[in-house]
Amino acid sequence: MRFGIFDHLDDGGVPLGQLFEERLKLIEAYDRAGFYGYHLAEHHNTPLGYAPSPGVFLSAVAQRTRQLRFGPMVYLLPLYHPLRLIDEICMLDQMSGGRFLFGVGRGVSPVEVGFFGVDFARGVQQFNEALEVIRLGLTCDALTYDGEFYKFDGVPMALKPMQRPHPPLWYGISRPETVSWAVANDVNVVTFLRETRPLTDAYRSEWKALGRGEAELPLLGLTRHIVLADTDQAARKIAERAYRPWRRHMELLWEQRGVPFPLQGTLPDEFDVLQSSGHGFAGTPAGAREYIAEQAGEGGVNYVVCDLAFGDITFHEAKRSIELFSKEVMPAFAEA
Amino acid sequence: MRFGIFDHLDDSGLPLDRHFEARLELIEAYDRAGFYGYHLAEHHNTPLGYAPSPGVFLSAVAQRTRQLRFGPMVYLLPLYHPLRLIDEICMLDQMSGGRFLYGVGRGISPVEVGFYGIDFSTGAKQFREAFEVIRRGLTEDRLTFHGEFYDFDNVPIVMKPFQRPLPVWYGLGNPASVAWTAAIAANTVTRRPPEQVRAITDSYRAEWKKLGRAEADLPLLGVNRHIIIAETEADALDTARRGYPAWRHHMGLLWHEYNVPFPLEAALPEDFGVLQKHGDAIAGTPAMVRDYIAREIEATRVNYYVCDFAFGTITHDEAMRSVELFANEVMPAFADA
Repeated sequence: MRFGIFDHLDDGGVPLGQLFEERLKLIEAYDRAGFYGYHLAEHHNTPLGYAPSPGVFLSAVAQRTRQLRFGPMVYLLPLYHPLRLIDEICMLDQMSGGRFLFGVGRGVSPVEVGFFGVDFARGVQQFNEALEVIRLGLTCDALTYDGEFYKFDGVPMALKPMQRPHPPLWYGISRPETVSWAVANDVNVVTFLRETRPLTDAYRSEWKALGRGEAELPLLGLTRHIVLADTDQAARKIAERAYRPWRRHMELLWEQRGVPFPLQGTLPDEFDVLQSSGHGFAGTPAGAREYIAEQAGEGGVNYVVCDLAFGDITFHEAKRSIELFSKEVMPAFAEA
Repeated sequence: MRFGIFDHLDDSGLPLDRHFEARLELIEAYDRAGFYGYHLAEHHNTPLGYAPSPGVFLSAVAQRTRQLRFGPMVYLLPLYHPLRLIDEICMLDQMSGGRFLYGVGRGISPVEVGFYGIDFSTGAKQFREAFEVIRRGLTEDRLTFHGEFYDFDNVPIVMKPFQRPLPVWYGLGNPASVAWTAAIAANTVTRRPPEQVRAITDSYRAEWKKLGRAEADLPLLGVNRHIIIAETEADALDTARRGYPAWRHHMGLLWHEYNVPFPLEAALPEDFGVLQKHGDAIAGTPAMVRDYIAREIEATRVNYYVCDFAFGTITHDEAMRSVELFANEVMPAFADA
């Protein structure tokens, strides 16, 4: 079983410079603990995400770590000029010795993409074209493309990524309809959904149908909020407090602009409700071992992505979570 | 006298990962030596510049240094969505404890900006609008702007830079741009023959005075030169002659490939020796470089001297040697200048 980290880098109630530096220290701890990958969200003009250009933060991550892979979860492709993204990917992958994970998406928020003048209704077509352009640009010497959104004529590609043909693709998956595309393109996937099994079953059966071996199966992950402490009570108290600002910020921009928030019914206001539905965990390492075994087993995943730092969780609280997780939870899954 | 660094991060012949890492080690040396600022060029789709997104490289610079300021020289404003640039600037400045130098420009190459679908002929206008949009986005809580190129209505701004205000930097080559540059109190770097640099600094000082501002508040007005130092003049010249041609070749590459007349064709000779004769570079001993810089400071009246130590196929060791000799035997001579 591999373990990863998901991070919104959302408002923590501390000055921004302090938030960034403390996060980088936590990321050093993820690196030492042997997490597989650090996945950073891209959000715009909202306290939900203070890495609107994930590439800038990830470059710092590359400098502060040695083995931890990292990447955006996900780059919002329509919000970039493809040439710039091709170059950034190359720079990040080369500057890290080939640790970049190429996460791609079209954006969930019409409000956010609207700030960039992108038509949300055509986001999928634009995303598909952008991804095609970028994959081409990462693998050729001169880029030519004639599409609806993008046109290029023999643009010289001066940079190449370290990982060939290109860094591995990652996607945030929520609908079974996208499984076929992900399988066909060897895309590693992560889902925040509670019901993970339908997605992983579909992925595995499509993978098999294409004649590919179980050993080459990409990473299929689920993401969960996790808070560990020395007692259940202490962990719950931290989680309940920290979750509230994160939950508020998830909805903030939608609310401000009068757009219905898609997770309104499904994302509870309080952490204890999240936990009782199995969608998050706050407790001791022993409880976490049980929880993860259960979630991974039920979900059919080979990658467990933990959200250990969110809302106003303090640096020390998060650090303690990581310590307990790495010493007393991860080893239990070493052979899994 | 303050000293800075200019860097194209151009092709050195090393594999890209080693090229980046070697440069970061050199930058650590700049930091230790007490250079004021590290200024990184933005070029696209050419071996002339391997930091087409300077922000990504500069984030690494921030992590590897403690006191060295840093920034793009310059961000090509029309090649970004302004909202993204506002956010990157805030991130970089906050992640470095306020060391970001906000360099702005419109791009010198119609070929490069053309790859991004930008019309070079309207680039200056687009640049001015982008500059104003970003200025508002860095200082206000809601961004509204209605212009020819950009339109924003009440966009929430959730990050601010550490430095308020943020120091602005501009690559100043044209005397006609001095008035605007002085009005916005931008720091400048110029690469022209010494007499032209002097004309620019004189003009800037005159504008500054006209604006009723104090001499003591004068921004940094810099000149940029290629500098190679070694124990002997012969060694320095060997290094320079060997290292320079690749940089010179890459400066003209895209222009030639796309049949656009290269504006610096005449100003940049093929041979380093000729460049040095024109006063545009120096390869020599520490004593020679001290003299060169002293004479140039007097001739140009700059208060900021920007060195380009690593370019073309100059090796990492050769560049480190230049930096060490510069730090130990040149900089101290200007400590009270």
